[in-house]
Amino acid sequence: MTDSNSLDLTRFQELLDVHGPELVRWPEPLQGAARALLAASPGAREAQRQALELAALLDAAPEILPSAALLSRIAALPARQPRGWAAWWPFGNPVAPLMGWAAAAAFGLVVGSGSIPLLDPSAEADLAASDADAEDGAGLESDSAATEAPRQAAAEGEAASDEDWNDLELALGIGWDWEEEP
Amino acid sequence: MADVLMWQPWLFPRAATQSERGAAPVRAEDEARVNSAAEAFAADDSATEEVRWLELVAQGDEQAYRQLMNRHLRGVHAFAYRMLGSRAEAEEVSQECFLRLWKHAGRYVARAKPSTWLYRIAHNLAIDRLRRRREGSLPEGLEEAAASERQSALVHDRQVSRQVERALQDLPERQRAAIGLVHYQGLSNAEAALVLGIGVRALESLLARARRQLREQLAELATSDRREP
Repeated sequence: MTDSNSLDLTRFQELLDVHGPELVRWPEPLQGAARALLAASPGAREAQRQALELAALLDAAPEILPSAALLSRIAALPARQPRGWAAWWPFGNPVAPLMGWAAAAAFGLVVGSGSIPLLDPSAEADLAASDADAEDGAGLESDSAATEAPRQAAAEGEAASDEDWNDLELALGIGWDWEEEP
Repeated sequence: MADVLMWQPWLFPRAATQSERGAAPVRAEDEARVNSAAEAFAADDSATEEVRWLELVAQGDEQAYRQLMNRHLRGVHAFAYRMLGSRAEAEEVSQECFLRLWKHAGRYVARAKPSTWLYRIAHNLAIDRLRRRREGSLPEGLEEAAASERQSALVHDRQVSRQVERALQDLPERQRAAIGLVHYQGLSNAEAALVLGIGVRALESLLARARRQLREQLAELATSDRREP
């Protein structure tokens, strides 16, 4: 660091080239010596004047402002250049389709558990066929009275169950076509 | 001191070699001044705020990204233009600079201001383009006419503006970078040295040579200007 006593005109000129003409931008230890030299030396004042002139000329260089198009391009960079999972998953937030899939799976499980036999048309047909066989069997007439009561009760229960299920089907819009068949 | 200049080189196109720097060896004085710049950085509230924004950008915060863009795009763009003399290339460098900010904010090490970090990225991108220009893969790019539109007619006319612009473009690129950072962007000598990856004394040598050359080139302008009322 230059000592304040050694700040002559030559060194002052060098410092003007390094730090510019504004003394406030000089290192503090040099500012006092520079002011003292300026007060005493017309040559120093002329050197500072020339440095100020150069700074003013440099300020005459055109001011370049970013265009509106550049501003919008740079502002849009985060959207165009996603990071993390978004960089390799092009379909938006992956949680949404996963949630949809999970909901559909859960619904399928609820609907499918336990109720499927009542919806099965072949099971209903088998039941009707077995009823017909029972009516045709001659040796079974004596037993028919004994078995009629429980069968009727079972048929009533089944009818009630079918009625409940039909309400659910109507609400959900499933199985309608099958119910319409004669 | 060298640790202070560790800027994670994979972030940049190409780090300047020691011979290109042409710099004097690092001295204790440099170290003291860079340390004082680091202390000033720590005490700078706006810089602290920007460091926070950078941390948020690293987490993907677009709002923080826009805050940094609003504060520094103008300076980065002007510096890139000063280096390249081409509006189109300055825009490309600015865009690439902020793309790197968005993608690599997590790599920032808070040893200097975020603005210093951004200027360093812009400087390296510009140097890379200048090198490719010399190799012939990019066209020369001094644009004068369009750039002078915003010149203040109160101080100097358009012709003066063009001559100053040409004198700046005639400077060797490292001198041009030094003047661009210190005179036009208002960085301290220590900050500009960090941006260029050189010691403070080397930076000051660049500044002194640049100002001498500019004074010689623009002497006629200064004289004629003095003659005018």
